[in-house]
Amino acid sequence: MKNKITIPAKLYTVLIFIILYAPIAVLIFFSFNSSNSTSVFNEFSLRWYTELFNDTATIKALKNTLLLAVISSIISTVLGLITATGLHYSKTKWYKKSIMTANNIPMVNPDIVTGISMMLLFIFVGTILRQSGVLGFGTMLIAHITFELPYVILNILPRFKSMDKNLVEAAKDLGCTPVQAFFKVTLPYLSAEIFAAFVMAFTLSIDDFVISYFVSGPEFQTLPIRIYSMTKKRVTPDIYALSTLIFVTVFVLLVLSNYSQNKQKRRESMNENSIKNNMKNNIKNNMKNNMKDNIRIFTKISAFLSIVLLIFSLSIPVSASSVDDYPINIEYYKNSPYRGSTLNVYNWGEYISDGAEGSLNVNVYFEELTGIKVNYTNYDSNEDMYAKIKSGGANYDLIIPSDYMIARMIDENLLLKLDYANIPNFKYISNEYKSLYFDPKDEYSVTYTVGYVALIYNTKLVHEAPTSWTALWDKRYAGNILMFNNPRDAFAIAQLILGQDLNSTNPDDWQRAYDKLLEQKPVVRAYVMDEIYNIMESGAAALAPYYVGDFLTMQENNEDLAVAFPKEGANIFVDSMCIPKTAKNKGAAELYINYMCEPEISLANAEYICYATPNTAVLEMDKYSFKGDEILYPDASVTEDYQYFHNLPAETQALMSNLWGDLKVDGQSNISTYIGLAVFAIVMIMYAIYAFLKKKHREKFYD
Amino acid sequence: MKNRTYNTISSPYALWCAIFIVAPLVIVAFYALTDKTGNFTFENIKHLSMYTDTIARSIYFGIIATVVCLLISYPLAYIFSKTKVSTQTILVMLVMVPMWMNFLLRTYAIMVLFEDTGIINNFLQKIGLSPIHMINTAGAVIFGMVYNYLPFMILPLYTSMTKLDNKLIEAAYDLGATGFQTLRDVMIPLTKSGIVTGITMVFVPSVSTFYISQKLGGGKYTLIGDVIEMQFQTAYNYNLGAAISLLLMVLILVCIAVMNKFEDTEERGMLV
Repeated sequence: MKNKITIPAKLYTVLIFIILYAPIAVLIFFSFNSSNSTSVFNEFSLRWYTELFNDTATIKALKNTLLLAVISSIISTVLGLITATGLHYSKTKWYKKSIMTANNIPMVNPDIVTGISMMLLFIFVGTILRQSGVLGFGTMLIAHITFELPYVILNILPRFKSMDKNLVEAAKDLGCTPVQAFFKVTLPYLSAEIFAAFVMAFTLSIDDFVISYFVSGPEFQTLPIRIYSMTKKRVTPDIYALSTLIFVTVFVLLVLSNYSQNKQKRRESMNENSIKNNMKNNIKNNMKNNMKDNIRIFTKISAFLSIVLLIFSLSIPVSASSVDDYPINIEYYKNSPYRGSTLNVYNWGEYISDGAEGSLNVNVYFEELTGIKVNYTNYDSNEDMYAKIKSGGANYDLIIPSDYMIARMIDENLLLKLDYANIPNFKYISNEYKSLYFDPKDEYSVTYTVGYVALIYNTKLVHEAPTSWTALWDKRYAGNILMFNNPRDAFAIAQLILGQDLNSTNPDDWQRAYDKLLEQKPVVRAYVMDEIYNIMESGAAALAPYYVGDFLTMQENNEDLAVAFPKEGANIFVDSMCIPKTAKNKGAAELYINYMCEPEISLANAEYICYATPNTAVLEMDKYSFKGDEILYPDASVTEDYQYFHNLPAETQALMSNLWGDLKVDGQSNISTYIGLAVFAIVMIMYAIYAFLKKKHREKFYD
Repeated sequence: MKNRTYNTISSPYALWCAIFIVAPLVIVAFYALTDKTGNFTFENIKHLSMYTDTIARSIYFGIIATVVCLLISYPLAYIFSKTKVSTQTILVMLVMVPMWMNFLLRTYAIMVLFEDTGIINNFLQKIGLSPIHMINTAGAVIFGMVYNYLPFMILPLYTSMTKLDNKLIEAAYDLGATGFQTLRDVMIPLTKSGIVTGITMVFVPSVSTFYISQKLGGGKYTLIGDVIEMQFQTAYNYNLGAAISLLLMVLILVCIAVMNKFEDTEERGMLV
């Protein structure tokens, strides 16, 4: 049976593969970039492959991912095999049917529904047991087993059906007990399917993001979750390096196993050529072999890959700068009574010096000094963080919310009072950032960073420096304007233009601000948060409001960017370290706060995240590269009328989020969607009528 | 062994299903029908009408992505099935390998490709064409869906194509059928199971995605998955989030039920 594949068919196949592999090529390409931009290629470098070894959080996430995948797939394979056996021999019809139906639910249900339903279950049980912080390794394991099991069962069950009953009977006749018969006959018969099921479970587990995202806690983060929090902020290319390594390993193994298998086949076919003359049989055998080969190859690859990755991840040394480099009171930290405990730190993404680009890895250094294990996880908005804390699903010992959120959390009794005797370094915090409105008596918070919102523009696209926020409404830049993708910051800009108080509780004010934003929508290219880095760095947009510290990071990758301080003023904010009520290790958290205020540590953070620091000792250091920087530390005359956000009353908050929802959802013209859906419905109905008529027509013939 | 013994063997899983599959759905329904203080209310359900546009858009995007996937994959799977067996193995592998690259990163890479100053537009400008605005459009979101879920369509189609006996196609031609008639009356009916599986595997994740619309849509194309994610992660309104999830679940079950009407198989369980 010779088949001709025509040239167009070949071209088509090649085209599809090009599309499939283009994004992967991009990732591999940028893993060799020397700068940390993921949009501008500077020069070839292996830098990110070395950085990968220092990225403790990523390595830890990789280990966690593999650990979870191995354990969950073993459990689900064993449990699935047992269940399949029971189901196959069971004669209770309704029982079988109801298990199979339940079994189908996780496969048909969207992942997001499975994820939130399990999260709600865990939190629900947690509330009943009066336990907070239930989310963690245990819940992840349960969730993974739950979504793997249906696939395992569906993989094994059909093979059972094709098994000759007499095989087991014969074994029993020959003196086997049923259990022996199972191990000696059934198990070997099913081995290929069991392997396939295991591999499938393993792959599903490694790949899963959505379900894990909802049921994970601070102590146990997997690689996909880590990547997600990275793509929300900016992706450090060492993740690309890691993916490239995984990808290349899989690819090489595939090629190798395919090659050896082809050789083997050629040898086999030479011997057996004479026997196999029946065409149909030949095809059938090929098919079967093919399936089996696939399974074998896949098993080999996964086994190999996991071993390689395990060895790789276990053998990675974690390097921290030597202790001498950072003159701090080592004894104070060495002798703390919290050695051996764990500390769950919940911070904004990219908001700490993490060892990248030769900086100090603040968390690793803290672990070395104190012997306290730090679980460091990220959020990307105050509201995200608030939802996690409020749900009680996870326990955190240290959080870094912004001003208005601190006010809200104090109001709702979600924060603990700090013991400032344990934080002697509080003395370094500038008086300007002590006793702020949300914490007038300095009871709950220690200021970490200070910032305000400024107008960023690209000098190549915007020729005269903007002086007002109205530039973001300017039709000349239509389609080149970015806007905040969070309601509070977005509304603030409209409110500033309208001359309103940012903390107004008057519904009419908010309504007018909404109208202003709606007016802006047609010229807005996208509502973004941290995606802004790539877009502005690559010069793809002209104007954007953002936090001034982040502007400095962007400017490092694109010198055409400049910043303006609009005349209407802006929002100023502080992010402060606080301890939530659910904290399990308050003492260690206070030690950590004190450590973060150490001048040298504070300096490392200030250099890394480019935000203004409230630490007076750092501000005086000559080696501090932003010392006296006009953008980070503008003259008091510029910032005097800048406003802090306050916690809004519940009704105003609800109004704001409803208006924001309207802006995002209802503002769009949706007519084409409905027309499209209607056309589709008509086509389907016509098809149904056609199929029905045809069936009738045919039946007439057969009658 | 007695029937009861076998039922005992599978009972741990029955228990597992009850606790970790059925109970969570009951809790979702419970949250959907209560307010923050736990009192019974229809408020959340009433609130759903606010999201009509979002739901319509999600379904519309999902349908387009599924149809595009089907149109791309059907000829491709056919080509695959016509190559030599050893080539088939390689081709199938090549379809599966990209799935080892994290899905979030692949989507992120599409962003890099599609940017106004991204790789594709740079290339277009180099060869003297005008750049195309691709990122943050509905097209980009649908491309993201098609790209990420294409393997889920190709693989089941390929499996059903390999089961297709070539002689039937030859017979159709011998009896005077045109290419289109053969496709319509022979091939499609015989590969129906693959088509249905493929459609389910693409449609369900497309309708419920939130990552793709966030990254490629630039926050302008809110889909039902985004709304759910927002209620749970940011807005802290579990009750409304649960109500929307419930709606999404019902929607998908209805779609699958309708589709199963087209493919009348009695074999499998009740849902698939």
